[in-house]
Amino acid sequence: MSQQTHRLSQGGRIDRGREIRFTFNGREYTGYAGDTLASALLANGVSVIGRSFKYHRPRGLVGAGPEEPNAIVQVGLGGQTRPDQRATQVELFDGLVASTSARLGFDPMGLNNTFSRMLPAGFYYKTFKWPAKSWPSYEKRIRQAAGLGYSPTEPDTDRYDHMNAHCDVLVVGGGPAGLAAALRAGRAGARVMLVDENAEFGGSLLAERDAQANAIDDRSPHDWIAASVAELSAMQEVRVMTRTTAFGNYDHNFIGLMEDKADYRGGPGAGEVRHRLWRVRAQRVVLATGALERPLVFGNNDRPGIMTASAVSTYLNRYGVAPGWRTVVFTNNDSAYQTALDLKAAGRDVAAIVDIRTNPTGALADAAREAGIPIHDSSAIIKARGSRRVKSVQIAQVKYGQLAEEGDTIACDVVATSGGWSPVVHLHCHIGSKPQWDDEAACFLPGPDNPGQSSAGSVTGAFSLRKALSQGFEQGGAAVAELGFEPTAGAAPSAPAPGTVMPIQPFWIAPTGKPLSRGPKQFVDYQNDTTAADIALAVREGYESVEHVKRYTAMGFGTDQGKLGNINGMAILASLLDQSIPETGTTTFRPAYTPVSFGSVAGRTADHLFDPERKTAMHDWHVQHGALFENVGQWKRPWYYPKDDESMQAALDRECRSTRNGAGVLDASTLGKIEVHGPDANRFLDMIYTGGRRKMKTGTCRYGLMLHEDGMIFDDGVTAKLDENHYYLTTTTGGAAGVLNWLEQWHQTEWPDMDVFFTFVTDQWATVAVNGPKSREILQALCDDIDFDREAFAFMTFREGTVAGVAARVFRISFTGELAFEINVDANYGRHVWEAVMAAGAPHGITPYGTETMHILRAEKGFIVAGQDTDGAVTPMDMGMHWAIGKKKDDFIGMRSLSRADIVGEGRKQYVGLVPTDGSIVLPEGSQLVNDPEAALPMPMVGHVSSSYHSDTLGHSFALAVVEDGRSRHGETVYSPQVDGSVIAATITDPVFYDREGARQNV
Amino acid sequence: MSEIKIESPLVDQVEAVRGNSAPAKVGVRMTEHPFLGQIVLRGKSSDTAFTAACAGVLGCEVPTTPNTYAEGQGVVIAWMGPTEWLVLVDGESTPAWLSALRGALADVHAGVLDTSGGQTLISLEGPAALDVLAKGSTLDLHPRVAPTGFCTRSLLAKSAMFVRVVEAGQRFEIVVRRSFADYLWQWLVDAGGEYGLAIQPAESTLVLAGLQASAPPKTATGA
Amino acid sequence: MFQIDCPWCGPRDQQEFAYAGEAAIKRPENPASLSDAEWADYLFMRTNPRGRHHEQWRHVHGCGQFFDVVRDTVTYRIESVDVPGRPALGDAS
Repeated sequence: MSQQTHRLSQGGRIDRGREIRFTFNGREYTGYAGDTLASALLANGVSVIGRSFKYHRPRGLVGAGPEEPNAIVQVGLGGQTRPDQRATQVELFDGLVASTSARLGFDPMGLNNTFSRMLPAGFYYKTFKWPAKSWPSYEKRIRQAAGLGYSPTEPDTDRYDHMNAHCDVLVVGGGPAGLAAALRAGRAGARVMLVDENAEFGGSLLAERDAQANAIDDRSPHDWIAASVAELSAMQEVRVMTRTTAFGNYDHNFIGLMEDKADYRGGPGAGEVRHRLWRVRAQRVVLATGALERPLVFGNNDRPGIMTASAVSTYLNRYGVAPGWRTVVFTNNDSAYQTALDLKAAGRDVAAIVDIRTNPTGALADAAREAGIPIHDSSAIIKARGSRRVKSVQIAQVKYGQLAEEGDTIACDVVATSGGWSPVVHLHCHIGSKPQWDDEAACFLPGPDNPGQSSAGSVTGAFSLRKALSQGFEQGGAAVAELGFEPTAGAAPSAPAPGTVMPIQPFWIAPTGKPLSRGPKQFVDYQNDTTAADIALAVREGYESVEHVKRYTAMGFGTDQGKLGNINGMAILASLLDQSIPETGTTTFRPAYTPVSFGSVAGRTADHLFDPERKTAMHDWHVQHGALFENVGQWKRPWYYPKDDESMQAALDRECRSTRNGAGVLDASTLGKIEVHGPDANRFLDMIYTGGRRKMKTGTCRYGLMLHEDGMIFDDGVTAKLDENHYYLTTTTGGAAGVLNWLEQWHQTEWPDMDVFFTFVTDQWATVAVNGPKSREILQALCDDIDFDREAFAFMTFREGTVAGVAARVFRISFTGELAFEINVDANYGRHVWEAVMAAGAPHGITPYGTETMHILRAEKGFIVAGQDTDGAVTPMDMGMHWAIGKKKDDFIGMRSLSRADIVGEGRKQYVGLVPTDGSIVLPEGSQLVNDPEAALPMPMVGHVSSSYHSDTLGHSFALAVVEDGRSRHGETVYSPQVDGSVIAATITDPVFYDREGARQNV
Repeated sequence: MSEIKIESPLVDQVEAVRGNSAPAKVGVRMTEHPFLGQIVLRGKSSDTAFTAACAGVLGCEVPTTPNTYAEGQGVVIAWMGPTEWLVLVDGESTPAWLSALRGALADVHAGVLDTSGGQTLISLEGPAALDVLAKGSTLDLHPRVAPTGFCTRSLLAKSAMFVRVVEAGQRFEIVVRRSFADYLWQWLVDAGGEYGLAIQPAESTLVLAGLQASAPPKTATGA
Repeated sequence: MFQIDCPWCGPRDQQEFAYAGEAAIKRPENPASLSDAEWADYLFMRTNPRGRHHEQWRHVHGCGQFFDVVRDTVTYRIESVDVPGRPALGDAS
């Protein structure tokens, strides 16, 4: 087990009393509670953490937070493993197992580095493009070589959660500005959410020494954080959340958060949630997202040990870890001087501060000089040496951006660089706002505020603590004041006045005196191995738009989304194109800010809760009687009821025979049902249906077709007239919601003066459809208050009465062509009535049947199913349903379209029956039909099969189809070429195959 | 004729009928109230003949403020839309309410529809009740926005629901359509598990909030 | 995900609503008197502006009411919601 050789003897927000064991790339290490995987590895002196994506160069830590591009690790094993984790944000827990997939010792893919001249930007596009069919195998190999992680191959059994939240003010970022904003808003009594992606609040304060010199309101920074969090936590309407990343900013102040509830401690306990996805609708949003330090670009700037200066300070001050023994600081601004002073305070050598600026002045420069740190001004590091660890740096004098004179080589094992700060404008920009370049601060700042949103702290370029605090306080107050709260009086938390500051000098790439393509690589995007030379190549090849250069070089395409490298890359591109940075612009900032787990996106919408399974009142009976189910929309409908080891076809044949010869029963509860009533119901329904409703007599039923205004069939069903201007409509199972919406839309938006109501009653009624010659006798056994005599209860009428002791509406309608009755009862009694029907039907051999038999029986009669035999492009005439159109009607929805030239012309597909020449073959539904199977490709298609079954009644297979001008082609043969190369021939027939006279339903 | 069997949509959920053995920590209590009278009332609130007839039967005015409900003697009447109300009564009294309403509204453009078999009612109560609902609902049910007396139709998980606030922030009633009830029940059991979910045996009683007058809810969350 | 201010129910999440096409498409009084071209214009032709768009939404999982929205198709900001010709609250249907 390794020793924590790089751990400082004191300091840091770690618990030295709690030692934590973990495994990284197969080796065991120890760290302390409060460490991240990154800080613990650094403490153990591990400098090479992974290999780079393309060149397989050894890589170490660059950052200390979400920006980390190199230390992308796989954490955990089995179904719970998580790829793409930043070691800088992985909290240490006992038993943690992490790895970087690429091999860390000798890496044969490291040859990519040796031969890297042959792997410039666009290499993959150019090389693997041909032949196109080989790309899948190329891709597999490239991905294996890249090795950024893998997804679990076993099911993840953890629980993931969604939570919708509302608040007055959402504060994103719990640094000084965010805390100040939340305090002000919370004190006013507003509902506040304060979220931070880190394990604790404090933001940039955690990276600094907890010195009284930085006191806030006379408290040390850490004490102020603790007091502020305690105050906020005690407020009833404030919710403070750590380990919660605001990953996306969406329209109308809708923010996505991902909260880690368990990963940080090794996984959830029983019943606990692993990740929670928060969907927050905030009245106001204060973005206090801070800023990320940019690295500087120079030769071999990717060698392990080269980090951002703020990362070095973070490891020192927050984790009590010194990344090395001897550091060279390279900067173009003041902030890295603080890192040099932090190193000194920790007892580590600072070999030099290399500053591109001439004669640095100001409070921090003075302090560095006082501490005896050599300062090389007007200078830059032009390249680093060392391979698995930086060993030294070569510095040079730089004048007007050009190499003036090569200088010393300085030995070191750490380089702390600062190229300035990039405000985290991501969330601000997710909803379309463009960031704006600020020359003075040399960074992109948020543009004008999005509605209901504001920014505070260093994201606005307010880099001093004092300004961040006052801005946060101000924005928190402004947000609640806009909502009508009274912000409390009192001043913003106070911090010491900042010392004098020397302005930043923008500096994008160290000059080498050579073309970019020569000399050591100068990395811009570490994760995707994009170099300054790649950008230059893109420009040479004619790319000008930053979006195109991004796609050509892959800059910013990694899981880190280019948090460190993008601004450097854009600035280098700007200078190569000889234009300004604002002219060049940024690429588009899109969610997610950091990767979001698939589990949290799914939430509990998985497994049995993936989608509702709608069940009828008789569902459990069907289950108990061996039904197999078919999904019809969200409904579970019995498909067929196999007995013992009966085949599907045998079961269907049996169900069909029983129904045609004795009695069958179908659960038809899923049909949509709507009650329509009001003085204008007749008038309204006359406009909706193709047929007339006005002359219907109370107590009768009528089949109806609804068209869209384009004349195409939209839905069908039976209308029963319960009373004058009171109707009971049925719709298809899948069409119910759409029909109700259709009725409401016409009523509300076109004819609001009509007095009519529509009420959805699908779930109220359980429907038991008893079909077959014996159905009358069965009903008579169950009901003594309805006269079932043929004349007394005629076909297409209904009666109200009592069935099996339950109040019922009984409809004499038929979807099988047999004598049939549909019993509708209060669904609470559905199971009771169903069982009573089964008992009463037993002497007649009553057989339950499912949707498949229903389809066979109705198709034998040529009855259509809207949505199966119609496809939204057929008219009633196409379907041979002229009879359904009211002859004397002046108008109905879709009527005008039925006389359009292209609707009445020849060549339309018309509804027909098909009988395959070989009656044992069932045409696959959806099959295309052609006149000549030998015709040249592309073969003209003249129609398609919409329904197709084997019929026990007919003794052969049959189908329903639409065929061009099919009604005049009865007796002709069409052909259906199949995927397997075979061709099925079939004869065109009338679509009614059984009992053409309709005698059987009328007995 | 054999005995007439009545079954709730949650008949297959054994715990909904009998209750569960409550966990050590209980954050939310869930109860099905099956077989209540659930009557949909249709009419126009501008039609004084309609409102007067309703008030005469119900013993309280039909609420015309969106998303509020009123209570009379043994009856809850909830605004569902500009021309639609849900009337909740005890199951046994349903036929009497139906005939009283139908009688009073016989000559008015109105509708009285019995939907008692088409939906069921589930109550959620306890400190975590609001959080359980928030997992599947985008409604803001905070007491400042949804006080006692608030009600609305909305979505819960992937099901339509009607929700009534019986005690602000603490006790909610969900009305769910029959065919979705089994799904929604399982969803609620899963969502409530995190907090400790006690399922109480089904209870076919109507619970009143004891409203005096319904206060109009605020539409914004601000003070 | 939008937040839409239902004229009856107040601000609700977009998932409670259904989009219902362009607003103010009036069905011709007498369709039979229209030429095929005029009828096709009513049937199929819609504006597709970059910017302010008058559209209809329905609070399908709420009060069930249709209403008009003026929405910017670039910024997605909703300028106004209104019920055409609504006389008084509670009287739309």
